[in-house]
Amino acid sequence: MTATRCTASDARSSRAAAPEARVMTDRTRTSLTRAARRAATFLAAALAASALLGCGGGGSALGLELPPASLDQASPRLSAAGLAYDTTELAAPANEAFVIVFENREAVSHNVSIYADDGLRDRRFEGVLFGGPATRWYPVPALAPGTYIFVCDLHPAMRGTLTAS
Amino acid sequence: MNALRPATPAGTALARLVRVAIVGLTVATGWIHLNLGGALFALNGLGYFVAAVAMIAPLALAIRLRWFIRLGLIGYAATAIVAWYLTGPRYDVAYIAKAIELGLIGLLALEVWAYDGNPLHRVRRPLQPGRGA
Repeated sequence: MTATRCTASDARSSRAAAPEARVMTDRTRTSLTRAARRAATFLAAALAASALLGCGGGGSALGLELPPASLDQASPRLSAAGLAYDTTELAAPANEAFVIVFENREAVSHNVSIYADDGLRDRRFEGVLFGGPATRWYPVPALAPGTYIFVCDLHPAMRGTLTAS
Repeated sequence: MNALRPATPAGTALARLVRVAIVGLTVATGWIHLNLGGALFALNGLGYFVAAVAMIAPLALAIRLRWFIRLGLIGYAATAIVAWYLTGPRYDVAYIAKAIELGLIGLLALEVWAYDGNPLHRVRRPLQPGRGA
């Protein structure tokens, strides 16, 4: 009994003196293996939860990899390079769906999303994020007449104004 | 004196594997953040790289404070996950980065358990009179 107490006490002082110098006994190794199994179970559960949260929060991003057959040549166009859009002003028809042609000229991922407010809380359209150089065609649903904010969700400093009229 | 004594890495293959995995995951998520563009992501990525180096640096100070680096990295990764959940965009690269960070937290928790025991007791230890870090 006394011996057991001494051993535990020694182990504690050893741990206090040099945490990583602790000798790996068979018991420790077994416990570590058991903990590794528990950690693996925890990780699997956490990853599943993360995937579920992710699906719940971001399943609405849209972006076509090929231009739609009915693409209007007057569709709003913009590009991104050097962490900036090439324009801060876009115009689109009100009350009818339209397509934004977005060319990402750099490897860094960008997108174009449209919000009704400066605080970026009321999202009206979410474009899919993608790395370039590549182009996506964003099918935006009809917007009521007014002024909107378009922004890159990954780099909120990249933003401009879209006017629907 | 004991507190200044350089500690040796734990000798089991499993312990080495866990440490290598921690460094690998830290560098991986650091690299992802560094390539997202923008100063905030770059700083976040650099923070991960510094933490990865601190996890393996054979310096007496780093070894002595490894318990703090482990807890700090857990907090750093957890903050990145929470910040992304609150404001970050949902897309494939983000999911990969967050999965890596969750794995990192799990492995770090494993090391905390193996080397430091109860984190609360470990944090209190340097504060006790006559006890070093």
